[in-house]
Amino acid sequence: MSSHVKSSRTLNAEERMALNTSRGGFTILIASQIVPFVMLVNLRYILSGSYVSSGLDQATGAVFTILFIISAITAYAGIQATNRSDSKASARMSVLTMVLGWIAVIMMSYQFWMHAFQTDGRFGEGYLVTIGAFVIYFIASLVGLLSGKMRASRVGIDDSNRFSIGASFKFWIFLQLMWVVLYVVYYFI
Amino acid sequence: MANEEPQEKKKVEVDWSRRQFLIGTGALTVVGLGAMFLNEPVAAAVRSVFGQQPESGPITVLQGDYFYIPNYMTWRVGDQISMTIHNTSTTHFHEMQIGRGFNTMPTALQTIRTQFAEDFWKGVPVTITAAQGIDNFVTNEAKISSDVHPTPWLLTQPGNGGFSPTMKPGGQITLSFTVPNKPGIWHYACFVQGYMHWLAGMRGTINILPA
Amino acid sequence: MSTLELRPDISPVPQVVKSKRMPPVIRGILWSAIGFLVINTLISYVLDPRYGHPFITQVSITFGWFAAMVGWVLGVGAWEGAVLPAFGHHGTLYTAPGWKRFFEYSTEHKVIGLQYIGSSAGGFFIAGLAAMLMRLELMNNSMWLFNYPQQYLTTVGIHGTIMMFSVGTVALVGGLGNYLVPLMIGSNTSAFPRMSGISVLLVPFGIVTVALSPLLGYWSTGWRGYEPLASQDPSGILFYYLGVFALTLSSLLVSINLTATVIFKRAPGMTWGRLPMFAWGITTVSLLNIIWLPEIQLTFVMSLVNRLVPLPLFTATGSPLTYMELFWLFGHPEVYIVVVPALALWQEIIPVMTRKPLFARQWGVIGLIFVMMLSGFVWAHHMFTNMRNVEMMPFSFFTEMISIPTGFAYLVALGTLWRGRLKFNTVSLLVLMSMFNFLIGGMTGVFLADPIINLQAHDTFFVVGHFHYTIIGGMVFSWLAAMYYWLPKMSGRMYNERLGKIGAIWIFLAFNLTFSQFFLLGLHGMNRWVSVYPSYLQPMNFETSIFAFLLGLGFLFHLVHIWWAWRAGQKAEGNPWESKSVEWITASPPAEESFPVIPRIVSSTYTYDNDEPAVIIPSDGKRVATTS
Repeated sequence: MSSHVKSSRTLNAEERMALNTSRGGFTILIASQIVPFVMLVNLRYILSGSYVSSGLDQATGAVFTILFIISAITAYAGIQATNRSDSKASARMSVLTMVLGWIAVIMMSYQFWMHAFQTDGRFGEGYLVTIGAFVIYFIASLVGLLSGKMRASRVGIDDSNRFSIGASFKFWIFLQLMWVVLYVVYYFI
Repeated sequence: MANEEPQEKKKVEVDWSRRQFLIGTGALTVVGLGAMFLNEPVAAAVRSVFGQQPESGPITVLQGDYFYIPNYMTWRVGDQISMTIHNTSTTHFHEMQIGRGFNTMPTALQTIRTQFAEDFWKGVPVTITAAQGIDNFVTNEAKISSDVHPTPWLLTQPGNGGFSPTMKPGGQITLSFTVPNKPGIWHYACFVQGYMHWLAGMRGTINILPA
Repeated sequence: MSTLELRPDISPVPQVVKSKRMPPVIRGILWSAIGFLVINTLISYVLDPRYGHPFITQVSITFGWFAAMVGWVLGVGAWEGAVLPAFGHHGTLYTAPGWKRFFEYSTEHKVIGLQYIGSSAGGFFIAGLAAMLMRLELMNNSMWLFNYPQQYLTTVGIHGTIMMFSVGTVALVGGLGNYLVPLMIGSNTSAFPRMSGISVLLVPFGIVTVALSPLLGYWSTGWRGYEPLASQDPSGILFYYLGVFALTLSSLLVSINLTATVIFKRAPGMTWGRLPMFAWGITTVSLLNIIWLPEIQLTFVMSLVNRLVPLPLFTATGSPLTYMELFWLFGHPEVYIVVVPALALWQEIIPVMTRKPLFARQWGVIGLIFVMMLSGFVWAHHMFTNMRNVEMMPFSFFTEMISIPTGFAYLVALGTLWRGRLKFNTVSLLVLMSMFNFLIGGMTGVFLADPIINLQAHDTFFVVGHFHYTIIGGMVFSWLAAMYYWLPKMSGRMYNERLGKIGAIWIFLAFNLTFSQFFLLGLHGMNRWVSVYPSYLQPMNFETSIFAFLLGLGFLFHLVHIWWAWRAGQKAEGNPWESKSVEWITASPPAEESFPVIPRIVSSTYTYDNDEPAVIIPSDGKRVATTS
């Protein structure tokens, strides 16, 4: 996920260090946030082995998973735009990403509401906890994207905020990667 | 940054009031401590100042883990009451006994209270108008009639302890009765699970006013 | 504007505004109350009304609590300081003068460090009061102080939770770490000061949440929140989960911040080989936090959901054990999170006091790192009673192994003391006492690692004595030593040597007389988690309680003494200990900008065998910008 920040000018030593600090901190944050997802995968196997409820609809799951993947691609385009200091494109891409994310989450909730399996069963409870945890991260990530979008359109992208606007996209991509893993784990194996 | 000329980023000190700070935090500390340690005396004081209207007609008592809502009621002798007791717990059985004084039992650790010594329902005519999810209903010395088919959970024979409908999780029962001429302070409580519910605070008080 | 993001950046304030504003703490409480009322009402009356329309339901109070937390953090100043800038608006953050800085949002690592220390000390005395109540109850073998066992158990739970999550994990890392690490590595700021300013606000909020948990009902699980007991407890357990969530979130943010600080903000010449031991300790602990705090957070979120929905997550066959595994996976590293910074503090202070170079520095670092790594392999020794014999052996082995890297810390300290001329003052006295206490704690730990003894002593006061020796004896004594050692730095004033020594001896005696008797009580059959116990244990419990009260008074004595010294102590010299460490070249107390010129480190800061300075201030040095 590391992308090289292209600047209109070369950064001086101090600015480079500050950029590295931000990158390092962000990497540590991602590393720490992998832990809960590892636990969710474990939880799935501890609770229900490799059982997949027949009430779960893989096709619907595939549709919103693909939407999430597309949103990750638009988020990547957002990173590119941010690196070009193209505020308009960056803001546009965050809006697109957020809209795709919302559609996917609404589909996810619909499927969850209409589930045909018991939520107090061994499979259902794990599924519920996983979806819930994902949605909490999703909301946090939306707030991040929104703040990046508003900064990009209000004050524009410059050396001072390029990294953090890009970081909100990167976190989004991280989250969608995690979802793909959870999708495979919960819907298939 | 370094290559920028030091802009006049003057620190502006917009001060705030020490007194407001101290009074505010102090008052909140007092409120917090009061809520922690004095809620019962405070509730009693509020009640004595504002009084409480006697309840009649349909009333609801909710049971939770481990509390009643409400935990204080005022009735008046002669009023007609239709009391629905609803167990909102998803995991535990709960009952509701009404009485005064305690039967006690010494154990190795401490003396525990097993049930009320004096049963409020003694001799009171009570009609069960609705019931579902009942585990058992000990009627003791109440005069029971029922609009619903009460078997097999209705236990009318003596020796099962005080009057107590025991609901399964989610169960509820509606009892219709006229408040008997027994004015004064009565208590209600849940003694199930080795009386641990009573210990954990599942208790309430009924103030019965004379007619 | 070339200020990079996530850098210290207080937005420029061109015009002078002369007006009073609401005290930030009061505004925080107000916003928090508004947030709570709005969300709680929305949930309990509109979105998820329950039968009978109670105003507060378990679901509504959970979401209302989150709103209250956000309201509190924003109200104290994160709104102007962090949120408005993050959304591209202009936030005007004012700074009040003097002591008032400590009661508002700040991005200055020294203010934040002291806010952490203050919050931790508050938590320490609240939880200490709970401990005094427990000892008062245990003076008699019947229920005489509390009315119900649940009240006693809730007191135990509040004591343990606040002590672990707001004192043990926070005081040395969030507190001393935030204050000292940037100073020690020659940086004017920590890596992410805005985030740091937010994280410290979560500590008082978390402490208050846990302390107010009896409002929702008593809970009986203690700081471990064991399932399925927790899901059957009254609702007070909700405030345990939520308060711990706030506290662990705070510690997680601290760890990300301090790790990045150590990696990226070191002054020129501050190589990894010269990095002060305390910075090493904080780095290793931060790595533990970064791995295990998210783990326990998700565990507690699962337990919370388990209760709210409700789900049978931890009730099926085998599942209570899953919870225990999840808890102790975090729970045992937690005790090293508490103790490793204390070991590092010994190694920081002893060379200064003996005027000798730190002995076998590399081994000290290796010790800290291996303690960190091994701590992830030992969790199951908390569950020996639930395991098969064959499963115990590896855990027993690793637990006993962990005493080896811990031993390195001792050898480094002893090697430095060896033939040194120790300055015998309050600080070194407290460090030596801490070493003694932790030795007892560690050795009893080796006993408990042995399954045969563990199965006998399990859940007795022997275990309670053991971990109080490691945590009070190891960490709290070191914390006090550090407070006295850096008091001249933090306040510019000196404590009273005689009073300090009296206080040190006082708590040492009271502590040992209390907790050594815990071992005996445990061996005689005194169980944990009981307020009523067999009468033959009563005389010993009675006198143990007396010493416990003396210990409590001793800590109060230190609090008052430090408070007095801070306000009215003798003015201290700039570097009263003649330390070579970087933090001592700053003014005492350091100005808002600690280093007007970034120093250059030319040698290890523990070279007390020569008079060469370890730190020089380059005369051609670049002046650094004031606010970035």
